[in-house]
This record gives sequence, C-alpha cells and structure tokens, in this order.
Amino acid sequence: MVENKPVKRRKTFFTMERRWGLAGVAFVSPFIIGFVLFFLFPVIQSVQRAFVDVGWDQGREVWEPVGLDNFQNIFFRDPDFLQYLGNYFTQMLPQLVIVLIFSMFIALMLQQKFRGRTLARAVYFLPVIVSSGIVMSILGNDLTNQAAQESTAIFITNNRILMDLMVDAGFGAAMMEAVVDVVGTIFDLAWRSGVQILLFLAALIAIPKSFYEASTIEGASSWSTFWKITFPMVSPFILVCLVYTIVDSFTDYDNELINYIYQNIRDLFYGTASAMSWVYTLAVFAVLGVIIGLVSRRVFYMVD
Amino acid sequence: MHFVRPSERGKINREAIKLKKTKRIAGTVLRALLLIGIGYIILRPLVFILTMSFMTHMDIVSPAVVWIPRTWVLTNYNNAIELMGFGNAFRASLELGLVTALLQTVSCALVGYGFARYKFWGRGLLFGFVMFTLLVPPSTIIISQIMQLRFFNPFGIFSLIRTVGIADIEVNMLNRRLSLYLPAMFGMGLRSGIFIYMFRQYFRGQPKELEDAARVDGCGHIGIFTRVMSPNAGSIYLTVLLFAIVWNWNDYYNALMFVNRMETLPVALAVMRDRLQQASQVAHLGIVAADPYTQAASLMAGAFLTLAPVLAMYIVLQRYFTESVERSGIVG
Repeated sequence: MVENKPVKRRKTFFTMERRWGLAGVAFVSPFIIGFVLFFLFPVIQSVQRAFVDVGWDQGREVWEPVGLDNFQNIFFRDPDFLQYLGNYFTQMLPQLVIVLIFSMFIALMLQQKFRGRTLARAVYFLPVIVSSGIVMSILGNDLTNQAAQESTAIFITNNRILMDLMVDAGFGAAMMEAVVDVVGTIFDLAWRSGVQILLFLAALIAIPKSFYEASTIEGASSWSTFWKITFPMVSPFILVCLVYTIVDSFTDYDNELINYIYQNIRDLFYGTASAMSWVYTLAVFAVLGVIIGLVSRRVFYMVD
Repeated sequence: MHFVRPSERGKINREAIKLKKTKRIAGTVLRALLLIGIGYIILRPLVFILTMSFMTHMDIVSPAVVWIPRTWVLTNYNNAIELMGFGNAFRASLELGLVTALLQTVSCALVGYGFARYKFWGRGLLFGFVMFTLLVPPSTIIISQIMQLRFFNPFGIFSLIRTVGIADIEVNMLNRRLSLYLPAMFGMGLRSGIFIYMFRQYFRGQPKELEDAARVDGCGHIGIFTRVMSPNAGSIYLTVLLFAIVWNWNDYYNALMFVNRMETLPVALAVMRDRLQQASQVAHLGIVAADPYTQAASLMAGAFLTLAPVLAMYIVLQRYFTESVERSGIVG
C-alpha cells in the first residue's frame, strides 16, 4: 500500500519575505554603519562630556566626572548663555512667520506663466547655490566693520544722498529709516528663503491642473481658489518649511549662540561647550515639537 | 431687476472684458515690479563683489563711480591669487568637492533605494534616524567627531588589535582626505540626510511592475538597482550630484575642522582675510599696502574667485537645477 503522506515542507527560517528584507538591510547598511560610527558614538560621547570636566594628558582627553556642575555653571554663573538663548528664540519665532509668508508669496509668483520665468527662477534659486558661509560673512560682517567700512560708506552715501533728497521732499526721516530697514530685511529674507521657495514651488507645480479648471468653471474667484485649493494642497509643505527654517536658523553659523559655543570649544572648555549645546538642542527640540504638534493637526493631506 | 436692452448687451460685455484686461495688465506690471525689485536685492551683493574687484583705490573713493569702474584693473586679482595660494586651493577644492560629492551621491542612492523598495524590520525607525542626523547641530558633536578622527578606532577594531598584540596601531585621520571621504561613503556626508530623502521619494514613485518584470527575467537585487532603476533615475542622480558638488565646494567649517592643512578655497579666503587684517597692523606684506580700500577690493576679488566656478556651473546647468524642482522627487 502506498502511503499517501502529504509532503511535509520544511519550514525555512529564510522565507522569501525575510530574504527580501535582508537585501533591503544590505542596501541601507552603509547608512547604518555611518550612523553608528559618525553620529551615534559622537552623540553619546558628547552627552557624557556634558557631565565631566575635560583635562588633558599628552593630547588625550582626561575626563573627571563633575555631575551637574557644567549645567550649574551655564545657568547660574554664565551671564551670557541664557541671554543668547532668549535672544535666539525672540528673533527666530517672528522670522519663521515672515520667511514662510515671503517664500510662499514668491513661489506663487514664480509659478505663474510669464516671459523670463526661467531667468527669474534662476535668480531666486541663486541663494541656494551661493550658500557659502564665508563669502556671506565677508559681505555681511566685513562690509560693516572697520577696514572695509570706509569703502562701503560711499556705497551707502549714494543712497544717503537719495535719502536726503526724499527727506527734503517731505518724506519723514523716520519713514525713510523704515524703508532702508525694509530693504535690509528683504535682503536677509531673500537669502534665507531659497530652499523654502524651492519647496513651495515644487508643491505648487504638483497640484493637479484639473482642480483649477473645475473651480474656474464653478466661477470661484482667485481669492477663494487660493484658500480652498492652493493653500490646503501646499499645507503639508508649510510644515516641512517650518521645520527646515527652524533647523536652518538653529544650525546656522551666524547664530550668536553657536558662535558662543565655538568660542568655548576654542578655549578648550569642552565640558561646558557640550552642556551648552545640549541645553540649546533640547530647547529647540521642545519648540519644534510644540510647533509640529500645533501645525500638523491643521495640515490637510489629500488621500487618493 | 435691471433691464438691459438687446442692443446694449454687447457693450456691457465689452466693458467687462476691458476691465478684466486692465486688471490683468495691472497684475503683470505689479508682478514684474516686485520680482525685478527683489531680484535686484538678491543680485546686488554679487554685482557689488564683481565690480568692486576691478576697481582701483581712486574708483572706490570717488563718489562719481557707483557700479562701473572708470579704469578696470586686475591688480586685485593678482593680490588675491597670491595671498590665497589660489592654484593649490583650487586644486584642493576641486578634488575634495568632486570626490566627496560622487561618494555621497552613490551611497545616498543605495540607501535611499533600500528605504524605498524594501520592507524590513525597523525601517521606519531607521528612517527617523536619517532625519534626526539633519536636526542635531554640528556644534553639538563636532568635538567628539574630531577626537574620534584623531584617535580613529572604528568599533574598537584597532584597540582589539592592540590588546591582542598583533600591532600597535594609532591612526590619526585628521588632515587626511579620508576624514571627509569616509563619512560621505557611509551616508553621513554634508546634508546626506536630504539626499537620502530625495532618492527615497524618487524610487518610491517607480512602478512595481518594472521590478517584477526584471525579477521574472532573472535579475538580482543589485541588477534591478543598477540596470533597471538607476538608468531611469538620471535626473535625480544629476540633481543630487549638482547640489552635493555645490554644497561641498562652499563648505567651510567641515573643511576647516577636518582637513585644515589642505586649504580649500573658502578656507583660503578666510586665511586671506586674516592676513589682510594683520597686514593693516603689521604692514609687512609688500603686495598690499596697508590701504583698506585695496584690501577690501582684493578681498572681493578673492570672494569672486571662490564663487566663480560654482556660478559658472550654475549658469551652464541652470536648466537642470530649476527643472529638477519640477521633476525630482522633492514633493514625492
């Protein structure tokens, strides 16, 4: 009699799915190695450093645990740190709103069809390309500091003549100051918003044309088209831009606080510098968390 | 209800059209004014750098000269080239920028592809880590990174070798090209997180059928990536490569921290600025007299020399940068 036993399939550990998963891990493995080696270890070390006093022995660090001393120093004995931290937030928050509105506005204009659009886009993306810290600092700082000041004085004087004329013509001096201020702000703004403009523009281009056609047929005004179609459709990118703007200003080398931390690094106060940067990082993460929490609830995600 | 005589209907219509037309023209003019105005504000510093770099002392001082120098001179460029050590700096920038950018593009493409096309345990968390690397400011971990490169010991391998007693190795990676190349190779280069994200978004949008067809035809995992997916993804590769080149070229702080002996252009520019500031006090540098105007003009020449290669690349490849916005997977 033939035994009609069903063929028992050996259950393999490496199922098809698992093998595919392994291939995926293999593709991602460069990042895993890099993350552990060049990010995780440094992060852990830097947290440890915040709780020690760093001494030196033949070029190697000697750590002496001091508990919370570093934090006590920066909170209670350092006159500058808390002030810089406060300054950072009071400058960053209004700037955040302005950058968002500005970049959305520019993106809306650059999205429309007009002659010379390619050129206009090329000009507005320029800040992304020329994001060279050192050249910007030469332009921003050096032009205002002593050596080059006299040379730029002429540069400004040209405007000053114009300004005096305007003041004579009956415009208030205070108003002219405000105008000059605005121009300076726009310069700063335009150079800060390159990436945000890019993101918004990409989001605007991705909105299906049929939405606008439908709303035109329904007779919607462009005002309500903006609020009912454009704005909800780009709203996920508002969140992205918010996060980008915060991170950008927070890791910016022009930042007072970052410079203060670097100054501490240069003076070899490694423990203090680490404690400072962690307080700073955690504070920004807290703000970031609050903002993401507030905004993400109002973001509209289209589900096909 | 307002009654309109049949003969007047056309007139009202025409008036409405006229009003619409006026509105449109007004909109166009307003838009043009705004775009040109803000565009001018963006371009002004660049034009300022360029024109001032050709000016003589007299032209800078003269109130009659605003943008166009009366006599064009190249002495500022000579000063800049000499004070920056332009030849060496240019070569260092080119080499470091290109190699780092290439390594970064390849590694980020692999990683982004892995995140996009495969499901595996912990993928979401790992991708969260990718984003997290962008959030932590470099100043937080810079000390650790420097110390780590100074006493390079990946996963304790070298100290293991030392304790076993095979060899006494102490590897100092600082001031070696590898200290920039290694992180780039392992997806931790300059803003690599953004590139991984871009690749992931792009590869996620590719159809599953493409992959299945290749598999039926006997293509392996690597084959699918190199022969099916990548040839289709030329635009995103180019976009990432261009951004990587530009950002690495402009990078000042990493170059300063990790390879400061190889003066790249931005580092050389900063060095030149310091030398000029000292020269105004010491005045022992014969080339530039202690004249703040000539110094400023030379600095402008140096800044322009630093930017020029990137600007030239941007002008030539500008189409790809701007089109990449429309085509690439930034939106997803």
